[in-house]
Amino acid sequence: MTTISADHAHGHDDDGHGHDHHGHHPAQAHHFESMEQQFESGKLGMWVFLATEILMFGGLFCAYSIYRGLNPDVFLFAHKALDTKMGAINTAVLLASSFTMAWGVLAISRGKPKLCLLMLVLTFIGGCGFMGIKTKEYYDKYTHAFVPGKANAFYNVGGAYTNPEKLQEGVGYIQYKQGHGDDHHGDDHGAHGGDHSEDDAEHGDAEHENDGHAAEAAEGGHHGDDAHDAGKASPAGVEAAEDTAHAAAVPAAPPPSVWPPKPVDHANIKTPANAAPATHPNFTRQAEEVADVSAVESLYKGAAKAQAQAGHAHYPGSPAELDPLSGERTHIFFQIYFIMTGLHGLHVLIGMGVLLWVAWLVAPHAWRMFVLASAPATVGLYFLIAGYLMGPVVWMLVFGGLCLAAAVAMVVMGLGKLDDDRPGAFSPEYYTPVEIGGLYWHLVDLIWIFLFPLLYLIH
Amino acid sequence: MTTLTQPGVHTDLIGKPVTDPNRETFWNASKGWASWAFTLDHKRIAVMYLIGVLAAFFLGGTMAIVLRTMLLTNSDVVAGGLGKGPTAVNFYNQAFTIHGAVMVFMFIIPAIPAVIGNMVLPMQVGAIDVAFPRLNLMSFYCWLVGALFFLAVLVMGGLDTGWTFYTPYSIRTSTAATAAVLGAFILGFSSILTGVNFVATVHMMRPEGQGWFKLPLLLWALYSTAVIQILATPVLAITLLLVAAERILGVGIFDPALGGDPVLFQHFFWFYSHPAVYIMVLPGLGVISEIISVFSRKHIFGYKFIAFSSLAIALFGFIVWGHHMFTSGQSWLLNAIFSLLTMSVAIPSAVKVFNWLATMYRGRIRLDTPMLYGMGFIWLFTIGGLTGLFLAALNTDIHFHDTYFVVAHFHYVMVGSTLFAFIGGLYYWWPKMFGKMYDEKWGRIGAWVVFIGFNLTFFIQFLAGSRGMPRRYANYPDEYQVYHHISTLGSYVLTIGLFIVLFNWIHSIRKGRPAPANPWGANSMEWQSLSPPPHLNFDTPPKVGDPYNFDGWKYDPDIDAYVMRDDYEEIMAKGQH
Ligand SMILES: [Cu+2]
Repeated sequence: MTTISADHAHGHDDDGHGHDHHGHHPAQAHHFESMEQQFESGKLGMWVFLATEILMFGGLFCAYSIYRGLNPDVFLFAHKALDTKMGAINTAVLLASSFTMAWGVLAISRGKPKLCLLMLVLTFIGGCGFMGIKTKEYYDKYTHAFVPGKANAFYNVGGAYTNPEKLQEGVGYIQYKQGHGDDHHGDDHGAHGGDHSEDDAEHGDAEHENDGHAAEAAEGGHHGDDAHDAGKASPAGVEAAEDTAHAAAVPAAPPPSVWPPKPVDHANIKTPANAAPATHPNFTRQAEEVADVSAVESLYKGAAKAQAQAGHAHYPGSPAELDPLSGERTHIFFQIYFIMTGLHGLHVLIGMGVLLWVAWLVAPHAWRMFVLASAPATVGLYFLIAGYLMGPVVWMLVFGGLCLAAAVAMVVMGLGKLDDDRPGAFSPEYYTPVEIGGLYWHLVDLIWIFLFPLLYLIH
Repeated sequence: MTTLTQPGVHTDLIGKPVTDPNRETFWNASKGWASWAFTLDHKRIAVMYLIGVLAAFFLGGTMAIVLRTMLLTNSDVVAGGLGKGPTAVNFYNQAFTIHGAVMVFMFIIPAIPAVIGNMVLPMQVGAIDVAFPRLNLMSFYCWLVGALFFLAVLVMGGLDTGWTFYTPYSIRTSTAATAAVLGAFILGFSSILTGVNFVATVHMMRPEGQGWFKLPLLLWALYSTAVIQILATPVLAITLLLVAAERILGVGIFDPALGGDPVLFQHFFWFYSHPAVYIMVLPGLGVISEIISVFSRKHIFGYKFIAFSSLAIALFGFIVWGHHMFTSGQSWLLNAIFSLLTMSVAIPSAVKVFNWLATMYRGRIRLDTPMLYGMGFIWLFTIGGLTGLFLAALNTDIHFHDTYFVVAHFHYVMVGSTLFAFIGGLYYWWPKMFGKMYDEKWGRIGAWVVFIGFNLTFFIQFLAGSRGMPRRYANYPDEYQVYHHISTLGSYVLTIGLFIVLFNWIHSIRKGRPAPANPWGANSMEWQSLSPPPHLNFDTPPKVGDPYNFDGWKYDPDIDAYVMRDDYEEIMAKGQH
């Protein structure tokens, strides 16, 4: 840079105007000496930025470790609410998308923009798949009152649960999932392995013992027999049963002998030893009928005692099995779950935006409108499907329709530009955005690789 | 001071007058507000940052004067128009909170990196710009948006949590804490982006021949600072995000009533905020290394020790945060470990101080304004550092914790040191930035008044604190009145000194003598360009040499500046002696 040309006066435009006399690549910014320096700088900057991202999530992982370390049983208990199968599918989806991303970078570095574009589109579809499954998961959580903030089933202020009805719903659902071996990682339970009937039987047994003691505890409490006006089918239970229909993790709807629960003849129940045969899940129903939260808690304690006496190594069955302080913290598992996965989901969305931007640059000019159209198309489809499943919700359907219409319009516009023969922006000499976009996408994938076992696969 | 033969013109490297009245500088390279608002020029961004942080400093300083004035009296009697009724006490709480938060997040943290660093760092590696000019501009706008959040806090009901946002109070307060934490979150991003930029620039943009050990020490300091900004700020970001989630959703992670752990917040907060102390002070250490060497006309003593001590401070800074929780119920073992680690930070800090003194020893010291600030810095940093040991020791900390002793300590380190380095550095690079010389006499007067005012304000607080005056209280027993009177008096003197500085700068811009290329005879590359530099920093590529070998320049009394010797390259090639 030995002369100052007037072109520089208007800022550092890196489109190369005014630099052509140096014989530089058109994409080389004026403050770099060479394309290589520019590429390496971009990469270094992205790596450093990724370090900040990891540290930001690191704070959350740290909070996670501390609460899990202090209250391991809370995490054992509460994580059952999550859907391991969906989490696993999502892990596979993200891994696959990372693979296609890497392939895309390789393609453009070898000068194959069309292959790169294909890979970017596949990666984008992977992102859509992940967000779609995540939405479904969130929605399932929502139906069982596992939500972030004050409406959470286990929300607890100063030791008292604030959402009694939701609490019953939540506990019932978790116990149901526990009982039904929606537990693909239960190897540490010995007899709980593979065979589902055996699994059910043993669980049923244990649950039954719970029942006995829960009943006993309730009798001792001020609610007495009212708590056992048995025989009503619990709405929570029905809900849980319906859940089996769509939660693919459970092989089949539970056998009729187990579900819906039979009334319990609590007169017979004195100790675990002479406990009556299993009905399952039972807790939900009792909890459902006891309006008073303190009674619910005393039921939990009874259940806890029963399990302790029976000597089963077992997932905690309820918050009250945990020590008193832990009980208050059950909702914190869900808060952490939602903050971590929510922040991660936000990163996936940003990553999808980056993908789209990179794909637009990669694409030959004739195709760019189609790439662009995929944004409103995705949003539109999302709102149409979600709006239909959730209601239908009219405004979501209308909004989704409008987005799709915009996408169609963009496609039509794109059809008029098919004769534009300018190539895409990248070549083996310059593809920095693909490279650093890829790095970002791998980070998003990596974080999920940690989130999945930490949140879903707790032993 | 000599009579200048050519007082009215800029001069270049060899002392020749620059006569072209239309010479292109970064100031006039393009015109109109858009050429500033969308500029990617690191020098213009530095100027915009300068205006911003000075405005923040004014706001934070006003709050300081308000609260010091309220502390003049310990009774309910109206003093200086400000009473001590419940409203006034609430107002007091808000004043010290706004003072702290604005000063920390909007002034001290960005001041030296974003203003001096942006201006100087690319030029010191002979580059046209930082590695990512767009990111640089984005960093400035993040700062601006964050600052707007804080202004919104002022009108939305203030903030009374203290700058530390301790939970659970920050969750419950009815003041605008949500906006404040989100503002600090955004300011944090500004800081991260600057850090990313500086790391990439120092790594990638150095010219051939400029190895790591030929970097000016300012760059080692800015690099170490950037490392902290990159590694610590994200943790603050997530912490503040969680506080916002507590307030908006009630997630309870930091709220004991919901089963959460408030001490966890303190761990998270100080994991950032202790290293943040070094974000504030490390760039200052770098500035002082430049000034001390240049104004002693002597090669810096122990270059590598100073360079690596910057890195050491940055790394040690990450493992000492627990010293803020000695009284928060941390286990005794953890307390002991953190106490020991904290004291270890004194080693690299002392290495620097000794090296500066050794540099000055037998130097030909010029007591120009930047040097006065440099020496003031050493004084304040030493006092601030040594009193830090009192607080690092477990037994004494139990007594000093949350007293004015702590207030005095961190003002000596953060304000005294950083502010002095900032003002001294601005004086030092002023000619380069604005192309004008300032009035040396008023510069020195200002330096003395600021120095006296600062020590008057804060030294007495060590005594008040050691006698038990707790911090953040609006009222106090009669015994402490004399301390508060002296401290408040000192704060007025400090204010006068700062206004002298400000008026000197304004006077310089309006009436200052055009600056020569190298008024101080420094050898880092930014002085090989004209003052102010052109849009692309250098008209001819700068020559790389040892930044502390001053033999290549000789003083020219005719222009009161240094000019490059003819045999500059041979001298540089010979290296240091
Ligand atoms: Cu500290």
